[in-house]
Amino acid sequence: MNKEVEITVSCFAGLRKYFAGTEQVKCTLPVSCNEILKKLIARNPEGAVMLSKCRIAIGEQFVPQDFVLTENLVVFLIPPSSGG
Amino acid sequence: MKSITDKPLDYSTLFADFRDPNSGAVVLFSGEVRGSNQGKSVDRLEYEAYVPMAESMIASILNEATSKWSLNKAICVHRIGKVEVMGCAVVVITASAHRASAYEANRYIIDRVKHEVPIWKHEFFTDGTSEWGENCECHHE
Repeated sequence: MNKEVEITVSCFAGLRKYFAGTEQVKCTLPVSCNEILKKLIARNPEGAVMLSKCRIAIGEQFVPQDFVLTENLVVFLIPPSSGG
Repeated sequence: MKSITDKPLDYSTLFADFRDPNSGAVVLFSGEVRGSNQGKSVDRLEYEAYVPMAESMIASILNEATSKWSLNKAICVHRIGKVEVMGCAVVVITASAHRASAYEANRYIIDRVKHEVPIWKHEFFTDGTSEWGENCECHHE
């Protein structure tokens, strides 16, 4: 059964030039990470290039962009690493 | 031990823990903050990490390197927060019976940490501007 939720999206580092550190995105479950990204791009199209460089993590695991959320989980958007 | 810290790194203390009768070679790499980058004068760096994921990824990289090169011990500790010019941002120490494996493993660990682990540097320049780093510059090192 479809369910309306607000997904929490956590944005790190350079991504915060375009989005808040925590964004709330209204979705209907199940929803793919791609759909969530599209909603963020609609919010600020200038962030599209940076978003395209990001990896996506759920918890502490990377997932592909077509990963489908079937429950309300926090999505972490991981820009390219620049440690060291 | 934790691999992400907001405290200054004291590599003398970290190095002392590596004294071991089985280790004929101990290699210490320290990533330090340069005073200039891309022609601009650097005031300081500020590091940010997705800490739980960074901790688990570094632990996994260290385990892999320890197994691959039969290391006696390996650590990687990375700063978050503000690091001034000439400050230490990251330390990797590897110990093994012979130097080749300690050198190779050390390079392997720092390369993977720089490219893969969710840690980011924010460079603040003396002209008042700032910029988030990307790991593309690693290809020139």
